[in-house]
Amino acid sequence: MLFLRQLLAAVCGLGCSAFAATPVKLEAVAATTSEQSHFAEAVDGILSPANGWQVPRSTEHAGVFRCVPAMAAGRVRFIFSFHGAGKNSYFSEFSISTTSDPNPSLESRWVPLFLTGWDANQGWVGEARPNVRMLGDTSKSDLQLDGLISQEHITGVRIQSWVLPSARPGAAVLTELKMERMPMGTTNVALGCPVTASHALAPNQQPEFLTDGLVGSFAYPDGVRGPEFYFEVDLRHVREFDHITLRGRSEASAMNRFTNLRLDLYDEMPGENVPALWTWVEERAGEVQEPGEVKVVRGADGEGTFRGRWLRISKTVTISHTPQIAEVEVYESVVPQDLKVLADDLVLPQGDPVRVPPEVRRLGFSTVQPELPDGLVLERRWRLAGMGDKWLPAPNTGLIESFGLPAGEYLFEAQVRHSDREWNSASLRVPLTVLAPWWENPWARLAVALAAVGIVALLAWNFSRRRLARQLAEMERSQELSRERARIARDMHDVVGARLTQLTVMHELFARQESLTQTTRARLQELGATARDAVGALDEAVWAVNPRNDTLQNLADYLCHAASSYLRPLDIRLRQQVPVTWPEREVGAQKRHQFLLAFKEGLQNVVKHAGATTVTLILRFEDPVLVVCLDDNGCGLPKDTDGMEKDGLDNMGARLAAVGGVCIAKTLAEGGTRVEFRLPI
Amino acid sequence: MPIRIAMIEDDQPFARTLQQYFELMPAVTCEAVFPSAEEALLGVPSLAPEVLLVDINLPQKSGIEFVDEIVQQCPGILCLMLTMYEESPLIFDALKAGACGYLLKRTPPQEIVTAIEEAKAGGSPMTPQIARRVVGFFQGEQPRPVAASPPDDTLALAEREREVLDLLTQGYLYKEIADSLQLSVHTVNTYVRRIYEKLQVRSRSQAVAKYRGFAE
Repeated sequence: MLFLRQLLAAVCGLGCSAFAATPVKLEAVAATTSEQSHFAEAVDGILSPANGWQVPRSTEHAGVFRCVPAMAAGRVRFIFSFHGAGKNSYFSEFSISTTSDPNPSLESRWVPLFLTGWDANQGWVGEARPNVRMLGDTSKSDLQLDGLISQEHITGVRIQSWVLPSARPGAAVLTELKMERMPMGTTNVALGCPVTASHALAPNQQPEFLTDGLVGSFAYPDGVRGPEFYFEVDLRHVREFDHITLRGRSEASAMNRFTNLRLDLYDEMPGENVPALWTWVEERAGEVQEPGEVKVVRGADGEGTFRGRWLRISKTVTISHTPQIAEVEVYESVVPQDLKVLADDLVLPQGDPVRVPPEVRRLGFSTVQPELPDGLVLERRWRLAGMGDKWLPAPNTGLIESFGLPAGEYLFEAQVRHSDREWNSASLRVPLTVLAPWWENPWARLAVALAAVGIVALLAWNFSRRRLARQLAEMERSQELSRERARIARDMHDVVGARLTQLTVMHELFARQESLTQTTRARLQELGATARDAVGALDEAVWAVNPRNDTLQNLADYLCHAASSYLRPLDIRLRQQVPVTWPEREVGAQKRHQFLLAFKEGLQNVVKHAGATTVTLILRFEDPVLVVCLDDNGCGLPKDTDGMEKDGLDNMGARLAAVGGVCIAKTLAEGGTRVEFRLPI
Repeated sequence: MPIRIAMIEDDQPFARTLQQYFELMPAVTCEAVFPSAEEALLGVPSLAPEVLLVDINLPQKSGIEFVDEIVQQCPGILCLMLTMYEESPLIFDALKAGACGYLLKRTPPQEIVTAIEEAKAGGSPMTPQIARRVVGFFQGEQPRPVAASPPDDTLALAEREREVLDLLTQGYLYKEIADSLQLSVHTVNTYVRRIYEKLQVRSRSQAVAKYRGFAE
């Protein structure tokens, strides 16, 4: 049993070894022993057999020491050195008490120290509660006693020596007493706190077992079975809680003693008419517990405000020896603080949110853990909500880094982990805004977009204005050109044409003279014909260039005119199948001229090769193609079209091709030839 | 008895040459040459020639406008357009205005004399191109009833006239038309003359109607 306890103490006192023990200086204040007892020598630091506090075994005695400086509640270790000259010079039975009296004295209010561990290099501790009893034969014995001090401010220690019926004669010698403060190594604030039970516990059980930091010690009611039983832990002052951890103690024969629990928190001493601030009733009622089960209860699991000084642990069922509890641990909320944000080694001003300038490459965060007793350092973790949301372990330096965080809203969170390895519910939460570079700002983008649109619009407007101006200029130029064409055409026609015409008339006048020789008359005839030809050719050329004739109607009229004026003198009948009206379409001078030349070539071919007496001219408009058919009643196309005729057809084709048209010649079923001109307008 | 004619021609050298030619011709006698429409409008009514040779392209008022005015001042006067232009729209406009025929300047002068004689005898030349314009005019203008002048049957083409016109559009010669309709060439000429008259009356009444339409 003893070994087991020590083993458990070692396991439970996690981290104890990590921190060095702090010696607490003791000063001798007063003792009930005589002045010759050398009371002060118990704390003079000299370890020699002749040096020590002589305490007669025949009567009860007490000695009071002052702690310098005063000590906070926590773990404490006393080392009793019994190095007296004779054998077994130890106290047979003694006890340790503490006080918070500013001037500790024998009359002060003393509270017994709850021992959690003991050991001796010679002899052994027979029992530790309520008093320590030492047994065995020793010459130089060092006794180590560990305990938990529940008072906040320990100013003095009292050692009491008791008289045993079987007391050895003579005096015990306390060669030296040392006191050390042991690191807490835990954030459990219930450790060492006073516990009371409403009813009697099983034999040898003490309510303090619930807060002794030892899982091996447990307590349960004996006799009372109903829910009226409770344990009550006094946490010494009102506290804000993070969570409560309950450790059970399973026994193979009784697996239901750690179920159906109820917790109540009070900020006043519980009693009738004192309402609980917070209550938790275990939901898993009726189940059996697992061996070594741990219940972690957080504020949200119960109802009310999760704070108070007195914690009551009871049950909701009537089962004997229930609740059977090994340990009650209470954890206050611990939240990292003082967030510093470093942007590329520059500390950013605090804010809500913290504004991170754009384009920061390296972002560092440093938090500080609130100071805990004995320099306890807790594990920490952090995360950035909005960037993975995953908790990441924080290094002990407290500086964590993030790289290349894109612009946006984030929430920095940091948490600590309590000594029971539960994460604190509350976390440090600091919103973080990583600012976008100005060009990523929506307004800036909008402005840029508007500006771009504006510039484009301006350019387009300018461009279109220029183009319009250019078009206008072009139109004016083309109109000017058109007017110029018309003027040249009219001038040529009126002036040159009139002169040529006059020439033909003059020729007639000349020819009337009778004195002319035959040869002269013939030459004159030739002159007249040439003049008339010239007028005709001029007429054609002028017709083509004159912009007034740039219409489909005029082209049609002129083709009819050309055909009739060419064919009539040759006594070839001309029949015309021509629409009365034509759509308003423009036909440029070049097109009209080329087409007219091809058409006249077609007429010539008819006259030269067809031997026709009637020609039918068919005009029609198959939008957008002007179709002109020249049908004759002649001999048709020869089998192998070649020679002159072929050349003629080739010429016509080439002329039409120049203006995008085609020319097809074919023999008609009823005899004769059709030459079909197709000209897209 | 030679036919008394006058010329309205601004091209003096041409006019003089042609005048010299007419002097050789016993059939015609050219009594005056007016260089502009304005002078002609002053001189022609007192001179009262039988046939006028009118150039279209005159310095101020055009030959067509001149014809329009002179046929109203001197009803029965025969106007032959003598023009450099082959263009159908101009010729058609001249006919609408009251001309009874047209000649091209490059026509051999002998034929000009013949045309004058024909005109005097009641001949009315019409090419297929002109004929088509006449058809188009009567078709296109028909559906537009004119408020001021209620539809007048006398202004519509008679069936015979329509037949003649139809053959003309296809390029039939007067003689061929006369043969196919079993008429004399003279009658064909008369039909054509009537068509011209209707064309003129019609276009004039439409002009008046248009004017009134604007005035109201």
